[in-house]
Amino acid sequence: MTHLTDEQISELLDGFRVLNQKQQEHLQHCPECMKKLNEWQSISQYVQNLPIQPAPDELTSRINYKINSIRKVYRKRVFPSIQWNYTFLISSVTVILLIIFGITIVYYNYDSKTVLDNGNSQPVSVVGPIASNNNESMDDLAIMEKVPIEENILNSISEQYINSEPFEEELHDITISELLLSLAEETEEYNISDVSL
Amino acid sequence: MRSLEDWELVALAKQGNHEAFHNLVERYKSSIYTFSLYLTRNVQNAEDIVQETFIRLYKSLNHIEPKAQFKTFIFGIARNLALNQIRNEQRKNNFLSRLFNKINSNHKEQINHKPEMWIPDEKQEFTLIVQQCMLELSAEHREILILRETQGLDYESIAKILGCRVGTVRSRLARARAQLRKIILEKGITIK
Repeated sequence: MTHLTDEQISELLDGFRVLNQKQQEHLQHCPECMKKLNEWQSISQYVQNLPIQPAPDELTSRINYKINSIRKVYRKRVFPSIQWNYTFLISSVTVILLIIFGITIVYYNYDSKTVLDNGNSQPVSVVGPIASNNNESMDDLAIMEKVPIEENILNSISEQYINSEPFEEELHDITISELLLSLAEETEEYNISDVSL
Repeated sequence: MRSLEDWELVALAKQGNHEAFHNLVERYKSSIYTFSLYLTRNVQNAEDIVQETFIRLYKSLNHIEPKAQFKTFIFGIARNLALNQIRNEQRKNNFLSRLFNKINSNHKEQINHKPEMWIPDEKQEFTLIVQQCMLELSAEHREILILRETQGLDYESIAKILGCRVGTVRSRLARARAQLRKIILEKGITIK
Protein backbone atom coordinates (compact mmCIF):
# COMPACT_ATOMS: atom_id res chain seq x y z
CA MET A 1 0.00 0.00 0.00
CA THR A 2 1.35 3.39 -0.97
CA HIS A 3 1.86 6.07 1.65
CA LEU A 4 -0.53 8.94 2.05
CA THR A 5 0.41 11.93 -0.06
CA ASP A 6 1.25 15.35 1.42
CA GLU A 7 -1.97 16.70 0.00
CA GLN A 8 -4.01 13.94 1.63
CA ILE A 9 -2.36 14.52 4.99
CA SER A 10 -2.83 18.25 4.67
CA GLU A 11 -6.53 17.85 3.91
CA LEU A 12 -6.90 15.31 6.68
CA LEU A 13 -5.38 17.84 9.03
CA ASP A 14 -7.84 20.49 7.95
CA GLY A 15 -10.76 18.11 8.26
CA PHE A 16 -11.59 18.36 4.57
CA ARG A 17 -10.83 14.75 3.75
CA VAL A 18 -12.41 11.56 4.90
CA LEU A 19 -10.14 8.57 4.46
CA ASN A 20 -11.58 5.44 2.98
CA GLN A 21 -11.28 2.09 4.71
CA LYS A 22 -7.96 1.17 3.08
CA GLN A 23 -6.36 4.53 3.81
CA GLN A 24 -7.46 4.41 7.43
CA GLU A 25 -5.99 0.95 7.85
CA HIS A 26 -2.77 2.08 6.24
CA LEU A 27 -2.48 5.10 8.50
CA GLN A 28 -2.98 2.97 11.58
CA HIS A 29 -0.29 0.48 10.56
CA CYS A 30 2.22 2.82 8.89
CA PRO A 31 4.43 4.57 11.48
CA GLU A 32 5.91 6.79 8.78
CA CYS A 33 2.58 8.25 7.72
CA MET A 34 1.42 8.55 11.32
CA LYS A 35 4.62 10.37 12.27
CA LYS A 36 4.19 12.75 9.37
CA LEU A 37 0.61 13.46 10.30
CA ASN A 38 1.57 14.16 13.92
CA GLU A 39 4.42 16.44 12.88
CA TRP A 40 2.21 18.38 10.55
CA GLN A 41 -0.39 18.66 13.26
CA SER A 42 2.23 20.11 15.61
CA ILE A 43 3.50 22.52 12.97
CA SER A 44 -0.05 23.61 12.30
CA GLN A 45 -0.45 24.31 16.02
CA TYR A 46 2.80 26.28 16.07
CA VAL A 47 1.70 28.51 13.25
CA GLN A 48 -1.76 28.95 14.71
CA ASN A 49 -0.19 30.06 17.97
CA LEU A 50 2.01 32.64 16.33
CA PRO A 51 1.15 35.96 17.94
CA ILE A 52 -0.78 38.54 16.03
CA GLN A 53 1.46 41.57 15.72
CA PRO A 54 -0.37 44.56 17.16
CA ALA A 55 -0.66 47.41 14.71
CA PRO A 56 0.96 50.62 16.02
CA ASP A 57 -1.43 53.01 17.75
CA GLU A 58 -0.53 55.90 15.50
CA LEU A 59 -1.64 53.78 12.54
CA THR A 60 -5.25 54.06 13.69
CA SER A 61 -4.89 57.83 13.94
CA ARG A 62 -3.41 57.93 10.45
CA ILE A 63 -6.25 55.85 9.06
CA ASN A 64 -8.88 58.00 10.80
CA TYR A 65 -7.24 61.17 9.55
CA LYS A 66 -7.19 59.88 5.98
CA ILE A 67 -10.77 58.65 6.16
CA ASN A 68 -11.93 62.00 7.53
CA SER A 69 -10.22 63.89 4.73
CA ILE A 70 -11.79 61.57 2.15
CA ARG A 71 -15.17 62.01 3.78
CA LYS A 72 -14.81 65.80 3.59
CA VAL A 73 -14.06 65.57 -0.11
CA TYR A 74 -17.07 63.31 -0.65
CA ARG A 75 -19.29 65.64 1.38
CA LYS A 76 -18.13 68.59 -0.69
CA ARG A 77 -19.03 66.71 -3.84
CA VAL A 78 -22.45 65.64 -2.69
CA PHE A 79 -23.38 68.45 -0.30
CA PRO A 80 -21.54 71.65 -1.19
CA SER A 81 -20.29 73.62 1.77
CA ILE A 82 -22.34 76.34 3.40
CA GLN A 83 -19.90 78.95 2.16
CA TRP A 84 -20.42 77.83 -1.42
CA ASN A 85 -24.18 77.88 -0.83
CA TYR A 86 -24.02 81.52 0.26
CA THR A 87 -22.01 82.47 -2.80
CA PHE A 88 -24.50 80.68 -5.01
CA LEU A 89 -27.45 82.33 -3.23
CA ILE A 90 -25.99 85.83 -3.51
CA SER A 91 -25.14 85.34 -7.18
CA SER A 92 -28.62 84.02 -7.94
CA VAL A 93 -30.34 86.89 -6.15
CA THR A 94 -28.13 89.41 -7.99
CA VAL A 95 -28.94 87.88 -11.36
CA ILE A 96 -32.67 87.79 -10.59
CA LEU A 97 -32.62 91.43 -9.45
CA LEU A 98 -30.76 92.45 -12.60
CA ILE A 99 -33.31 90.63 -14.74
CA ILE A 100 -36.22 92.31 -12.90
CA PHE A 101 -34.51 95.70 -13.22
CA GLY A 102 -33.95 95.17 -16.93
CA ILE A 103 -37.54 94.09 -17.52
CA THR A 104 -38.82 97.12 -15.60
CA ILE A 105 -36.74 99.54 -17.67
CA VAL A 106 -37.86 97.96 -20.92
CA TYR A 107 -41.48 97.99 -19.80
CA TYR A 108 -41.48 101.68 -18.85
CA ASN A 109 -39.70 102.69 -22.04
CA TYR A 110 -42.21 100.74 -24.00
CA ASP A 111 -45.09 102.20 -22.02
CA SER A 112 -43.93 105.81 -22.66
CA LYS A 113 -44.12 105.22 -26.38
CA THR A 114 -47.73 104.08 -26.34
CA VAL A 115 -49.97 106.28 -28.32
CA LEU A 116 -53.65 106.95 -28.50
CA ASP A 117 -55.20 104.94 -31.19
CA ASN A 118 -58.42 106.04 -32.94
CA GLY A 119 -59.34 102.43 -33.38
CA ASN A 120 -59.20 102.39 -37.11
CA SER A 121 -55.68 101.27 -37.58
CA GLN A 122 -54.89 97.65 -37.77
CA PRO A 123 -51.67 96.37 -36.34
CA VAL A 124 -49.67 95.39 -39.34
CA SER A 125 -46.09 94.40 -39.48
CA VAL A 126 -43.66 96.84 -40.99
CA VAL A 127 -42.23 94.14 -43.10
CA GLY A 128 -44.21 93.58 -46.22
CA PRO A 129 -46.84 95.80 -47.78
CA ILE A 130 -46.18 98.97 -45.76
CA ALA A 131 -43.47 100.20 -47.99
CA SER A 132 -44.59 102.19 -50.95
CA ASN A 133 -42.24 100.26 -53.05
CA ASN A 134 -43.46 96.70 -52.67
CA ASN A 135 -40.57 95.41 -54.64
CA GLU A 136 -38.15 96.48 -52.00
CA SER A 137 -36.06 93.69 -50.83
CA MET A 138 -36.76 91.97 -47.54
CA ASP A 139 -33.29 92.81 -46.29
CA ASP A 140 -33.93 96.52 -46.59
CA LEU A 141 -37.24 96.19 -44.81
CA ALA A 142 -35.68 94.22 -42.05
CA ILE A 143 -33.20 97.02 -41.51
CA MET A 144 -35.97 99.59 -41.55
CA GLU A 145 -37.85 97.86 -38.82
CA LYS A 146 -35.05 98.26 -36.40
CA VAL A 147 -33.98 101.82 -37.09
CA PRO A 148 -34.99 104.68 -34.76
CA ILE A 149 -37.21 107.44 -36.00
CA GLU A 150 -36.43 111.07 -35.51
CA GLU A 151 -38.38 112.92 -32.91
CA ASN A 152 -40.00 115.45 -35.27
CA ILE A 153 -41.60 112.68 -37.28
CA LEU A 154 -42.94 111.15 -34.11
CA ASN A 155 -44.34 114.47 -33.02
CA SER A 156 -46.14 115.01 -36.27
CA ILE A 157 -47.57 111.56 -36.13
CA SER A 158 -48.80 112.08 -32.61
CA GLU A 159 -50.41 115.37 -33.55
CA GLN A 160 -52.19 113.73 -36.44
CA TYR A 161 -53.56 111.06 -34.26
CA ILE A 162 -54.64 113.43 -31.52
CA ASN A 163 -56.43 115.66 -33.99
CA SER A 164 -58.10 112.91 -35.86
CA GLU A 165 -61.80 112.12 -35.36
CA PRO A 166 -63.47 110.33 -33.74
CA PHE A 167 -61.30 110.51 -30.67
CA GLU A 168 -61.45 107.58 -28.38
CA GLU A 169 -59.76 107.34 -25.06
CA GLU A 170 -58.97 103.74 -25.59
CA LEU A 171 -55.26 103.17 -25.46
CA HIS A 172 -53.55 100.68 -27.65
CA ASP A 173 -49.98 99.69 -27.47
CA ILE A 174 -48.46 100.29 -30.82
CA THR A 175 -44.96 99.81 -31.97
CA ILE A 176 -42.97 102.39 -33.77
CA SER A 177 -43.11 100.27 -36.88
CA GLU A 178 -46.88 100.03 -36.72
CA LEU A 179 -47.11 103.74 -36.15
CA LEU A 180 -44.96 104.41 -39.13
CA LEU A 181 -47.04 102.08 -41.21
CA SER A 182 -50.28 103.80 -40.26
CA LEU A 183 -48.78 107.10 -41.14
CA ALA A 184 -47.67 105.85 -44.51
CA GLU A 185 -51.12 104.50 -45.23
CA GLU A 186 -52.97 107.62 -44.21
CA THR A 187 -50.79 110.39 -45.56
CA GLU A 188 -49.13 108.57 -48.40
CA GLU A 189 -46.51 111.22 -48.07
CA TYR A 190 -43.95 109.32 -46.21
CA ASN A 191 -42.09 106.57 -47.74
CA ILE A 192 -40.45 104.53 -45.14
CA SER A 193 -37.24 104.72 -47.03
CA ASP A 194 -37.40 108.51 -46.77
CA VAL A 195 -37.31 108.51 -43.05
CA SER A 196 -34.01 109.63 -41.76
CA LEU A 197 -32.50 106.53 -40.35
CA MET B 1 -21.65 47.41 18.24
CA ARG B 2 -19.09 44.69 19.00
CA SER B 3 -21.56 41.89 18.53
CA LEU B 4 -22.48 43.00 15.02
CA GLU B 5 -21.29 40.95 12.09
CA ASP B 6 -18.79 42.41 9.65
CA TRP B 7 -21.32 42.96 6.90
CA GLU B 8 -23.70 44.63 9.32
CA LEU B 9 -20.93 47.05 10.20
CA VAL B 10 -20.31 47.62 6.51
CA ALA B 11 -24.01 48.37 5.99
CA LEU B 12 -23.92 50.88 8.83
CA ALA B 13 -20.72 52.43 7.50
CA LYS B 14 -22.43 52.78 4.11
CA GLN B 15 -25.07 54.90 5.81
CA GLY B 16 -22.35 57.20 7.13
CA ASN B 17 -21.88 55.65 10.56
CA HIS B 18 -18.28 56.44 11.30
CA GLU B 19 -18.23 54.39 14.47
CA ALA B 20 -19.13 51.27 12.49
CA PHE B 21 -16.23 51.82 10.14
CA HIS B 22 -13.95 52.51 13.08
CA ASN B 23 -15.02 49.18 14.53
CA LEU B 24 -14.05 47.42 11.33
CA VAL B 25 -10.65 49.10 11.48
CA GLU B 26 -10.16 48.03 15.08
CA ARG B 27 -11.30 44.51 14.29
CA TYR B 28 -8.98 43.89 11.37
CA LYS B 29 -6.04 46.25 11.56
CA SER B 30 -3.79 43.90 13.52
CA SER B 31 -4.66 40.83 11.46
CA ILE B 32 -3.91 42.69 8.27
CA TYR B 33 -0.80 44.18 9.78
CA THR B 34 0.49 40.72 10.72
CA PHE B 35 -0.39 39.31 7.31
CA SER B 36 1.38 42.23 5.62
CA LEU B 37 4.42 41.86 7.87
CA TYR B 38 4.83 38.22 6.98
CA LEU B 39 4.38 39.00 3.32
CA THR B 40 6.54 42.08 2.92
CA ARG B 41 8.83 41.61 5.95
CA ASN B 42 8.94 45.37 6.18
CA VAL B 43 7.39 47.40 9.00
CA GLN B 44 6.83 50.59 7.02
CA ASN B 45 5.37 48.74 4.06
CA ALA B 46 3.07 46.76 6.32
CA GLU B 47 1.77 49.96 7.91
CA ASP B 48 1.20 51.51 4.50
CA ILE B 49 -0.68 48.41 3.37
CA VAL B 50 -2.98 48.48 6.38
CA GLN B 51 -3.72 52.16 5.85
CA GLU B 52 -4.33 51.78 2.14
CA THR B 53 -6.48 48.69 2.68
CA PHE B 54 -8.91 50.63 4.86
CA ILE B 55 -8.90 53.63 2.56
CA ARG B 56 -9.80 51.37 -0.36
CA LEU B 57 -12.43 49.68 1.73
CA TYR B 58 -13.94 53.04 2.60
CA LYS B 59 -13.93 54.19 -1.01
CA SER B 60 -15.60 51.01 -2.18
CA LEU B 61 -18.24 50.88 0.54
CA ASN B 62 -21.03 51.77 -1.85
CA HIS B 63 -20.00 49.14 -4.38
CA ILE B 64 -19.39 46.06 -2.27
CA GLU B 65 -22.04 43.46 -1.71
CA PRO B 66 -22.08 40.82 1.02
CA LYS B 67 -21.51 37.91 -1.31
CA ALA B 68 -18.67 36.19 0.51
CA GLN B 69 -16.92 36.39 3.84
CA PHE B 70 -15.88 39.96 4.63
CA LYS B 71 -12.48 38.63 5.63
CA THR B 72 -12.02 37.34 2.09
CA PHE B 73 -12.71 40.76 0.70
CA ILE B 74 -10.44 42.73 3.01
CA PHE B 75 -7.56 40.24 2.87
CA GLY B 76 -7.87 40.27 -0.90
CA ILE B 77 -7.27 44.00 -0.93
CA ALA B 78 -4.36 43.69 1.49
CA ARG B 79 -2.81 40.88 -0.49
CA ASN B 80 -2.92 42.82 -3.77
CA LEU B 81 -1.34 45.82 -2.10
CA ALA B 82 1.34 43.64 -0.53
CA LEU B 83 2.18 42.06 -3.87
CA ASN B 84 2.49 45.51 -5.42
CA GLN B 85 4.83 46.53 -2.61
CA ILE B 86 6.94 43.43 -3.06
CA ARG B 87 7.17 44.03 -6.81
CA ASN B 88 8.12 47.66 -6.27
CA GLU B 89 10.77 46.67 -3.74
CA GLN B 90 12.21 44.12 -6.11
CA ARG B 91 12.27 46.63 -8.94
CA LYS B 92 13.94 49.20 -6.71
CA ASN B 93 16.50 46.70 -5.46
CA ASN B 94 17.31 45.54 -8.97
CA PHE B 95 17.76 49.11 -10.08
CA LEU B 96 19.92 49.97 -7.06
CA SER B 97 22.05 46.87 -7.41
CA ARG B 98 22.70 47.65 -11.07
CA LEU B 99 23.48 51.24 -10.21
CA PHE B 100 25.85 50.43 -7.36
CA ASN B 101 27.52 47.68 -9.35
CA LYS B 102 28.37 50.28 -11.93
CA ILE B 103 29.49 52.95 -9.49
CA ASN B 104 31.29 51.02 -6.86
CA SER B 105 31.01 47.46 -5.76
CA ASN B 106 31.77 48.54 -2.17
CA HIS B 107 28.39 50.17 -1.95
CA LYS B 108 26.65 46.84 -2.06
CA GLU B 109 26.23 47.03 1.70
CA GLN B 110 23.92 49.95 1.23
CA ILE B 111 21.52 47.84 -0.76
CA ASN B 112 21.22 45.25 1.94
CA HIS B 113 20.76 47.82 4.64
CA LYS B 114 17.04 47.90 5.36
CA PRO B 115 16.34 49.68 8.61
CA GLU B 116 12.62 48.96 8.42
CA MET B 117 13.09 45.23 8.00
CA TRP B 118 10.87 43.29 10.37
CA ILE B 119 12.85 41.20 12.81
CA PRO B 120 10.64 39.19 15.15
CA ASP B 121 11.51 39.86 18.77
CA GLU B 122 9.36 37.23 20.37
CA LYS B 123 10.27 36.48 23.98
CA GLN B 124 9.34 32.85 23.74
CA GLU B 125 12.24 31.17 22.03
CA PHE B 126 10.27 28.48 20.32
CA THR B 127 7.73 30.90 18.87
CA LEU B 128 10.60 33.06 17.67
CA ILE B 129 12.14 30.08 15.86
CA VAL B 130 8.83 29.24 14.19
CA GLN B 131 8.50 32.86 13.10
CA GLN B 132 11.98 32.80 11.65
CA CYS B 133 11.25 29.54 9.87
CA MET B 134 8.08 31.07 8.45
CA LEU B 135 10.08 33.99 7.11
CA GLU B 136 12.40 31.60 5.33
CA LEU B 137 9.50 30.29 3.28
CA SER B 138 8.64 31.83 -0.04
CA ALA B 139 6.05 34.63 0.00
CA GLU B 140 3.61 32.28 -1.74
CA HIS B 141 3.89 29.71 1.04
CA ARG B 142 3.91 32.30 3.80
CA GLU B 143 0.66 33.88 2.68
CA ILE B 144 -1.20 30.62 2.32
CA LEU B 145 -0.11 29.40 5.75
CA ILE B 146 -1.11 32.68 7.41
CA LEU B 147 -4.49 32.67 5.70
CA ARG B 148 -5.19 29.06 6.60
CA GLU B 149 -3.62 28.72 10.05
CA THR B 150 -3.86 32.12 11.68
CA GLN B 151 -6.97 33.44 9.92
CA GLY B 152 -8.70 30.06 9.73
CA LEU B 153 -10.02 30.62 6.23
CA ASP B 154 -11.39 27.67 4.29
CA TYR B 155 -10.02 26.59 0.92
CA GLU B 156 -12.71 28.38 -1.07
CA SER B 157 -12.06 31.69 0.65
CA ILE B 158 -8.31 31.33 0.21
CA ALA B 159 -8.85 30.54 -3.46
CA LYS B 160 -10.86 33.73 -3.83
CA ILE B 161 -8.18 35.81 -2.16
CA LEU B 162 -5.37 34.30 -4.17
CA GLY B 163 -7.36 34.26 -7.37
CA CYS B 164 -6.76 30.59 -8.06
CA ARG B 165 -8.63 27.31 -7.97
CA VAL B 166 -9.38 25.30 -4.84
CA GLY B 167 -7.20 22.48 -6.15
CA THR B 168 -4.26 24.85 -6.36
CA VAL B 169 -4.86 25.95 -2.77
CA ARG B 170 -4.92 22.32 -1.66
CA SER B 171 -1.63 21.46 -3.29
CA ARG B 172 0.09 24.74 -2.42
CA LEU B 173 -0.89 24.43 1.22
CA ALA B 174 0.49 20.91 1.36
CA ARG B 175 3.76 22.08 -0.18
CA ALA B 176 3.98 24.99 2.26
CA ARG B 177 3.51 22.68 5.24
CA ALA B 178 6.05 20.23 3.92
CA GLN B 179 8.52 23.05 3.32
CA LEU B 180 8.03 24.47 6.80
CA ARG B 181 8.52 21.06 8.34
CA LYS B 182 11.72 20.68 6.39
CA ILE B 183 13.07 24.06 7.54
CA ILE B 184 12.21 23.36 11.17
CA LEU B 185 13.90 19.96 11.06
CA GLU B 186 16.96 21.48 9.39
CA LYS B 187 17.33 23.79 12.38
CA GLY B 188 17.64 20.72 14.55
CA ILE B 189 14.34 21.22 16.29
CA THR B 190 12.42 18.18 17.32
CA ILE B 191 8.79 18.43 16.41
CA LYS B 192 6.67 16.98 19.16
